[in-house]
Amino acid sequence: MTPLLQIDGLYVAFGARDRWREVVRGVDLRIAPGEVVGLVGESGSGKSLTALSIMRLLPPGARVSSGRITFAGTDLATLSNRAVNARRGSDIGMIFQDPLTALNPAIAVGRQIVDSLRTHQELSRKAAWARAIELLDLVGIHRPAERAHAYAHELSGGMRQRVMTALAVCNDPKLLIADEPTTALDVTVQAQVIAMLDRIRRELGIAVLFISHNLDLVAGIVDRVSVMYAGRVVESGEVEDVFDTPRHPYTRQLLRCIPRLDGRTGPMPTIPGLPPRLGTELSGCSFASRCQVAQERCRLEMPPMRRKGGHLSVCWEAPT
Amino acid sequence: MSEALLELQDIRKQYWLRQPLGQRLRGASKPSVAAVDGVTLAIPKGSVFGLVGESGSGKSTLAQIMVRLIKPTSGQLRFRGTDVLGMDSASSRAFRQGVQMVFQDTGSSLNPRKRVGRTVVEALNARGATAAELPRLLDRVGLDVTLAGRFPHELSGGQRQRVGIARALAMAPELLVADEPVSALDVSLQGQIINLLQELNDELGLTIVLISHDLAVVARVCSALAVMSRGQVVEEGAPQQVLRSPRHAYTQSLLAAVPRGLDGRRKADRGAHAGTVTGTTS
Amino acid sequence: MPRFTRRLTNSFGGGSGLLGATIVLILLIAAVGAPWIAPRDPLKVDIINQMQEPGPDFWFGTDQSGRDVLSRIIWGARASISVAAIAVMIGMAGGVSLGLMAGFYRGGWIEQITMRFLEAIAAIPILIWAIALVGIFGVGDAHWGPFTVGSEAKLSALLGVLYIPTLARVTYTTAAVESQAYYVLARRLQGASSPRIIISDVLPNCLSPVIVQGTLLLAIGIVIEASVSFVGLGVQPPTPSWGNMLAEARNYLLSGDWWLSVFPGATISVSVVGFNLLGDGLRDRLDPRHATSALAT
Repeated sequence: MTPLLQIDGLYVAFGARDRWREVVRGVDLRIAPGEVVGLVGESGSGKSLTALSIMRLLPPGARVSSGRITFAGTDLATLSNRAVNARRGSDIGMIFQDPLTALNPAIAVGRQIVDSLRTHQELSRKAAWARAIELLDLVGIHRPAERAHAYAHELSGGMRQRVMTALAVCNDPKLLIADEPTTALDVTVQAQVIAMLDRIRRELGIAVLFISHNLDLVAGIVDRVSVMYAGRVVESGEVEDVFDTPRHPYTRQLLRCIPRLDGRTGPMPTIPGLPPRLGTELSGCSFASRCQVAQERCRLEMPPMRRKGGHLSVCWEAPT
Repeated sequence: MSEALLELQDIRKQYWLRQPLGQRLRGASKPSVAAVDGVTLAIPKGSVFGLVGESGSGKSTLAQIMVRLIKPTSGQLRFRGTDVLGMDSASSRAFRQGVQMVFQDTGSSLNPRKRVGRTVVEALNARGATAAELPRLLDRVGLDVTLAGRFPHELSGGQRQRVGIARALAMAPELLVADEPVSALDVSLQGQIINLLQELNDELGLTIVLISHDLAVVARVCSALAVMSRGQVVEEGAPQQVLRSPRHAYTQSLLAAVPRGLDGRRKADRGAHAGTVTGTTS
Repeated sequence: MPRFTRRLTNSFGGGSGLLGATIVLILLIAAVGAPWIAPRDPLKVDIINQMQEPGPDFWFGTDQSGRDVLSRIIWGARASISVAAIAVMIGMAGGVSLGLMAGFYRGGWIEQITMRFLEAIAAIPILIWAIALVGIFGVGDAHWGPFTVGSEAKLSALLGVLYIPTLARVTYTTAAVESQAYYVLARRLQGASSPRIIISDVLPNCLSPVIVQGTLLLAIGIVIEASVSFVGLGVQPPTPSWGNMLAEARNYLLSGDWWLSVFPGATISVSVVGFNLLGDGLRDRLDPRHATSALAT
């Protein structure tokens, strides 16, 4: 089956004039229609930049230095800015970590949905409003007809995320990119928002790219997951495979660090040292300095990608 | 059971809201918000005491009341058995030394214009000690002495938190209140700071109040914990007890909401499959 | 680009900032070094050479009394720069102090009274104030007991007081935010007194916007001094000021003696642009320095 979204060898660099630093180094990613894929990594892994580059939403100073991004068969790099703009909000929807900055504070939330609907579809004002209220109901907002006239700052964090989701899916996109959508929310609200996202994507049949630093959270709703470290994908595969039998030391060590309600006490596991500073050039594996099973050649040579079925990892130690 | 180092009795903190003129003229009583609504706690000496709450629970307000940065509207606060709220300035100073705080690593926990060494030395001087103690202190929190000349923005989040801990330790406190000390850090690095706090508790006998929204972290390192919601303590006890048999509905919903990784998914899938078999949609 | 040039450019926030800094530097040299740089005595009346066009002898020409326009312009820098600079210094001293107090003691009466009062003053445009106050206090030297205050000094003082609201507001916005910062709480936990915290912790974090605003106020000061002198209420002839040179040139605007008005006017424009470019450049340089990087992913 042809993938809906395909990223091949993506390199994103930051810089000015003569000094470019690569922060995303050769990322491959594939999302099939209707599939939920998780992109997991900690700070400095490059996961957000990877997602932003799909829709040309990179911050100033950053650019895609090489690679190909294909969506529904079209190479996105060949499109003009206007064409890309047309896809944003219609074919691809995106929700972000901070809904306050993503929603217009001066316009009622219902109106924002209506505006998006009428920009991308031929709808009368009445029909658009009706659809907007339907969508607000779909994302789990009580009394949607009333709430449609509220302003962003009058709503709680969880509700704002729901509104942002409604805005992102209002034009029936094929792909929803969720960039840390629950990171700023309380745990109880987070669970509700995740449940809502899962329900929506099943009902509308949307593929989802879910970006997060929280492996446990991601495991709850994704089909496949890719783990990123220092700008590279170090492991990827079906979520059960990656969780039950992680093949990369970083994934293994990361899983061990996640605090669980298992009644264990004693020192918390941690990964010693620090991740490499963004953009630093390293020879060999970028995780070597913190890896528990690192060997001499890990520091000298970039490890190859080893695969076992659909389960990939970039490590010398991964069994072939 | 060890004696209590810090005791809070029925602490309340109310904030009055601005009232529209119309209401005020009508004589309506001033609207207020109770950030802390009757909290009674005893922090045992030498313990690591956890305080769990989400946003709006009042935990940060309570934290600042514990260190006397904020005065409660009513209630009693006793440190080492002595009433702390009615203090004169001399006793105030002694208290200052006894209780210190570590903040969340937002941009403002360290002065961006001061080198971190100077920030810690200032604290040493405030206690009457000299900069000679700086190297030992930095070493104690796991920081290389050469970092003393750096500015906060040149350090990583974890390093900044260590500086914050060093700053608090410089005052040689008996009680350290840590308000969300690791929330802004990556999971793989949180352990470094939490373990450091644990070490300080083990080796120096430093009593620690650990405030966090992360129940799993608190349950792991604390000997006792309290759960806060809407300004009140809704549950209190040993971690094992609270996790296994939570009494209050809020604690139960908190436990249920913690992501459970694959286990959660497998349960849901089983549910979904059962659903499809019987014809209901997921 | 050689390393030194690049670092210099970066210090001023870019090429235009560097240009601004250069212009300001030239002005300062002119103001300070006038006695040595000016080719001729600006006050020397020389009827024989009156109304000379710019040429090899008189680069900017001469005016109706035969005085060298170039020398008068160089000496005029003194009036403009000194009035503007002293005004900004007074404004900073008063404005920063008030702003810090109002920001730190937020919610208190200090904040309410100070900010409301300053807003009242700021409601009236500076130029109107300047003219009104000069009208009240009169032109010419003032005698206060044993002290004699020259008209320029009076103008500087008045302008300085008028600058206080703007500088106070700029300081206040930053001070209010920084006073809530955790590092201030930490200092309080150490038992540091409020005045100490204000000066050693809050103030350094307020300086950047104040410096930028100060630079822009220098530009405004030049315009105000020129305007006030133009209407005869500032620097009195024969002492040269760009403003009163323009006033005297009024009579000759249409008679083809262009150099009398163009040079003073252009100098004012270039000076103002210079200070503005410098201010903008400094703003770019000072603001994002400690901002969190967009690289955080």
